[in-house]
Amino acid sequence: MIYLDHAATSPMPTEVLKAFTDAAKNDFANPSSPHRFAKGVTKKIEKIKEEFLTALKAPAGFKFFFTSSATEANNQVLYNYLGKKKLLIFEGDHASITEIAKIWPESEIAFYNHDQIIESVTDDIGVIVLTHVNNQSGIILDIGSLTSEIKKKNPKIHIHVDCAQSLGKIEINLKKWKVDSIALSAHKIGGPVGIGAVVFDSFKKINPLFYGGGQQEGLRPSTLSYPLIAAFYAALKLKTTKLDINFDHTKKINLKIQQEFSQFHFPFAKTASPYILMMIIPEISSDILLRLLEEKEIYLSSTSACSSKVKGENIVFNAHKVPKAWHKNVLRISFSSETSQAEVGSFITNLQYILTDLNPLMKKKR
Amino acid sequence: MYRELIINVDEMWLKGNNRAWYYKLMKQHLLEVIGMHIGHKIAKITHENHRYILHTEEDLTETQILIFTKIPGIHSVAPARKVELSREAIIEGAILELKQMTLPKTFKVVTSRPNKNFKDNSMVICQEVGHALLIKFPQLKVDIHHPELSVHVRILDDAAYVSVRKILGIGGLPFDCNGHLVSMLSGGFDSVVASYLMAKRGCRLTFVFFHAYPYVGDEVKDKIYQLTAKLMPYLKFARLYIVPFGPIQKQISDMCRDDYRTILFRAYMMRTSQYLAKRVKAQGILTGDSLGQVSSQTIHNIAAIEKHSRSPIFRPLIGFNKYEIMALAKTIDTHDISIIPHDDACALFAPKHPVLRPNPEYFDQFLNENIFQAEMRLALDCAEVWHFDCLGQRFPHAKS
Repeated sequence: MIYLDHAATSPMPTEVLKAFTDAAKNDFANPSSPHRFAKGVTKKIEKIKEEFLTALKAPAGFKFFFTSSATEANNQVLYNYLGKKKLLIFEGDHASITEIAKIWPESEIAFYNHDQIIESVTDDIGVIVLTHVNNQSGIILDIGSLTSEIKKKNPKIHIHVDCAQSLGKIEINLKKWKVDSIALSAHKIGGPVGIGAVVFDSFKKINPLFYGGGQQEGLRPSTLSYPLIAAFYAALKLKTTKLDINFDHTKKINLKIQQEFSQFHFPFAKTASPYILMMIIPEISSDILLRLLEEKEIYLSSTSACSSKVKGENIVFNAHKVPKAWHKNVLRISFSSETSQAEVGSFITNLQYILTDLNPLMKKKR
Repeated sequence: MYRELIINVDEMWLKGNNRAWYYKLMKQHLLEVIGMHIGHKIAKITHENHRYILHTEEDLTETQILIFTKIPGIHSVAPARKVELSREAIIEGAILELKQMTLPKTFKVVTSRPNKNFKDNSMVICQEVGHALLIKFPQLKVDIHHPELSVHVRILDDAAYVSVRKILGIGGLPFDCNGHLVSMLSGGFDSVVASYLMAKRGCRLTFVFFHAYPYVGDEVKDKIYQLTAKLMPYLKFARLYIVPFGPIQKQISDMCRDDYRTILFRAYMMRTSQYLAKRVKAQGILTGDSLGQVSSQTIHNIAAIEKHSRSPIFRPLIGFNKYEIMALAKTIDTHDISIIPHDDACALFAPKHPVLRPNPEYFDQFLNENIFQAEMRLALDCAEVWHFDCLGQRFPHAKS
């Protein structure tokens, strides 16, 4: 099997699985219980939270709490301002942002261009959501310079950054960023599904989405899952130590595909994260290619896994200015640092074979 | 609420010496429907001349009543009040029936009296019941020719039955009296309507869908399941074969002239359907062809395909217009499913200009030289086979 859909979810490496099972086996106590066993687990969790903050270079005053996913994290931050402040988002962002904007009484849509984002930030905007790495195009935003310019224009604005696709891949530096909150996800970096996090400046008040036993300072109640937390941390540790090496490796395999298929289009390759490569093969519907590839046990996506059910015109591609004629021809290839050159080589050979095999059909049509 | 349902049969009275056989098939289908929709414990059925009477221990729901109108061979159903065999009881029953409905302006009484032992003849019953109703409901008038309401009185051996409502069924002939067809479903309007029409004529059906995976996604299968389920009220049971056909289509496309792709796909689907017909012991093939609707449905193309067919091909929609077909699809409630867009393999395979008048030499030669027997048998062996019951429920069919 060749798996090239890591932007959707990435499998758990052995170390992560071990961290999970060890935690489940040895540290199964409910962290909220009064005994020493439980307090030991609580201590471990507190330690991990600190490690996370360190890894993100968070300055003093930043707090951290776990959620079930990045979707929940985005929702929880934005719900604080629903109906109170004007929201600015980008239409090509993840559904967990754009769908909230739909129920927002006052919201605006910005564009991905740096200058246009700055221009859209007016005095009346209360919240802005930026996506560090877009999940479909892979476009990276320079959060450091963007946020300082935004704060210069509008110091009161709350800046929330969705880091689901960048954690463990591209540096997140909360010391350099002028952000108020960020959202994280575990399963995009080989952590378990079902856990994410919010990191926020404690100066800003964040309300809980629901109520319960007061865990995590009441911000996100419900019994903390130490196995998920331990595995999330294990996955992060594997990545943060080799951020640059991984980046270069991924860039190399990404470029290899671009070179081999230079006759096709890679509209975002220049500004995108090397972990996500959007490739457009005109004339052949991407769903057919996906099925031909899946017959060879090669798995990738056509659009984000969350929006691939929608047929025809694609709002996200529109937002990214992909010509309409190509909306059905988009392949999203996404890598992990574990993706090997051999795997990418095999993907290239197989795709070339499929395209050659389809060629007689296409030639007759032309 | 009613606990008796009079079920009138359609064309079977035209039959001669073999009439009993038709009634047997009819009763078998009725028993199946009763078992599935009501339950044998609380429902039984009796046979009286050209009708069946359903007796239940619980009130029939509207859905339960209407399901009988979809059984092929049923002319109509009438929910009825069962009364004692006496003039007084019949009159009382008729009054009770009218009391629970919005009164019409005009009415008449219709009586049938197969039970000749009953002392009043039909004329007397009509007069007496009509008289009693006119006294009870003075606003009513009798109109023999165009009444708004017909009050039916049936004098049978065990009891008399009074009914004021008659619901027409689909008519036709009982399930499985007219042989077995392999019905080629496409997911569009036509093949489903064609299947309904032949089910109405008493055909047993085995459905086949040619799935061009990987050129078409698996989503289309859901549509085919839904359409088949919608046809099940008209059938006692059926099987559905989903035949993987992508590789064969690819092979044909690589080999043939591109303008012949569409018609050759059809020819090979037909050929595979014939193999299937042989396997399931069906006597013919059923398609939704309507003359000239698309390029493969010209007389030239139909003739070219027909030449390579060993069993008869039934095309009940051949003279139907698209709107007529869509209207029928609405009445059988398949319209809204057929209209759901689905991936079409043709997007990749469709030639710019499909051939309208195939060159017989080329077409015949291609079919004769490329039998694809092994490929087609393999496709059938790998087919996904489902058994559908009359409720539209689907079960994996154990392969023999």
